[in-house]
Amino acid sequence: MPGSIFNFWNLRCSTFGNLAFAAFIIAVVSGIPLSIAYDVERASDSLQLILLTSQSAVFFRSLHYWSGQAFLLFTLIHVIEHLSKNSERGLKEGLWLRLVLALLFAFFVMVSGFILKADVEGRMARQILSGLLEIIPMVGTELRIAVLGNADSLKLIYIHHLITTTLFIGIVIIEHMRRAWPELLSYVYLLGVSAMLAVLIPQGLQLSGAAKIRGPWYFMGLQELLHWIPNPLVVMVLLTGGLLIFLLLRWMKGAGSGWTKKGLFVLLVVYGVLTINNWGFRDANWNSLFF
Amino acid sequence: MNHTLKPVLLTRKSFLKITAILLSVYPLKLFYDVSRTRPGTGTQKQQVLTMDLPEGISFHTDIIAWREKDKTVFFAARCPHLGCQINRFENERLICPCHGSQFSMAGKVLEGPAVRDLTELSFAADAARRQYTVFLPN
Repeated sequence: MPGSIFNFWNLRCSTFGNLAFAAFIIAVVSGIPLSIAYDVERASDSLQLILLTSQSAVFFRSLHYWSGQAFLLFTLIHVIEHLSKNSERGLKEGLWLRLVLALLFAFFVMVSGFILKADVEGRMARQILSGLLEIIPMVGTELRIAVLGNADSLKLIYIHHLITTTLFIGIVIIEHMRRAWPELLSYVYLLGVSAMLAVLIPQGLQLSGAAKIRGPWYFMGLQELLHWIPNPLVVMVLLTGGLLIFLLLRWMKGAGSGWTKKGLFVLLVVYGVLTINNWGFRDANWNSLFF
Repeated sequence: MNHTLKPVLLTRKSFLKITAILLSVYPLKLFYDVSRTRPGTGTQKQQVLTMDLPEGISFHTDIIAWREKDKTVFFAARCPHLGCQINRFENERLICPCHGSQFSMAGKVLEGPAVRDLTELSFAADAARRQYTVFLPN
């Protein structure tokens, strides 16, 4: 049933893989003018300056933002499509490992962009990520330094955002799709929609203290988990366990694979419910209308 | 017709692999340098505040001050849960904006997810200059 829904879409529009690829390229290209104006040592000031003085900077930043969101969204749908068709079993083991790593990097490239805003939300996001990495036994501190660098500088995050993760994702996409460019139609769709959203909903900065830090939409469920589970290490164990189960799907067969996918889908739905609760039903004191 | 295949020295895939490995050298070198130049070790951070603090709770970037009559207490503004900066005071409660932990004016945990109280900070008072020097944790 889910497979037929994807087939229905694919016959009438670009595939989700092509759309994700097109969104990735638009995000990379729109990021180039921003990276020229962005000063990592005075991140907030340099961003405020270009956003206040240049309309084109506002447009490019919003285009970068919306195409980035589209990239993550279509990548996730593409993954669900693959899993619903069991096509992960046809992938070579090495490529599957790289794809799972690239998926992890996709989340990182998104959240690093969020941190690089260097506004109140960005600083808090960095602090949460830093706290989560730091809590990992034995390797936590080294991992935090490897991912986030020095506490007082955005330099390493900037390099990871611009080069390390982006390059890795790009290479893996090309290897996976076996082509250097997505379909032209995907560009047309993505550029049109992203540009329209950039004009209609331009992205600003949160400069004053927010009553409640929401975080990006894909981490709102995580924020809920961190609210409910007092020990962040437990949350990290749950996330790592989920990632490992996802990684092992490639080698699972028959009913075991089917039930595992159903289980992961249920977890995804639960995460979605937590996200909606965090997004729409929590007040500034974190009281929820539901639970 | 001659159908003999030319031997391929470098395929596109192997070229990409070699390029990726070569390009990973730079971030690794950078990481090595960054991790060896960690600032802030060995010197204790401190912040100077005026003695003319308002009654009750006031926020000073990394510090929360609580003044009541002749008593003044300073807390680290970092939430003991994941380190977010506490910046909200409502209904006699300090509230963390990240995950909703709540603390009393005395820094005690009232609601989780935080399980530890706010860190009370040591300070030195200079009556002549009418200022406090508050020592922050590294």
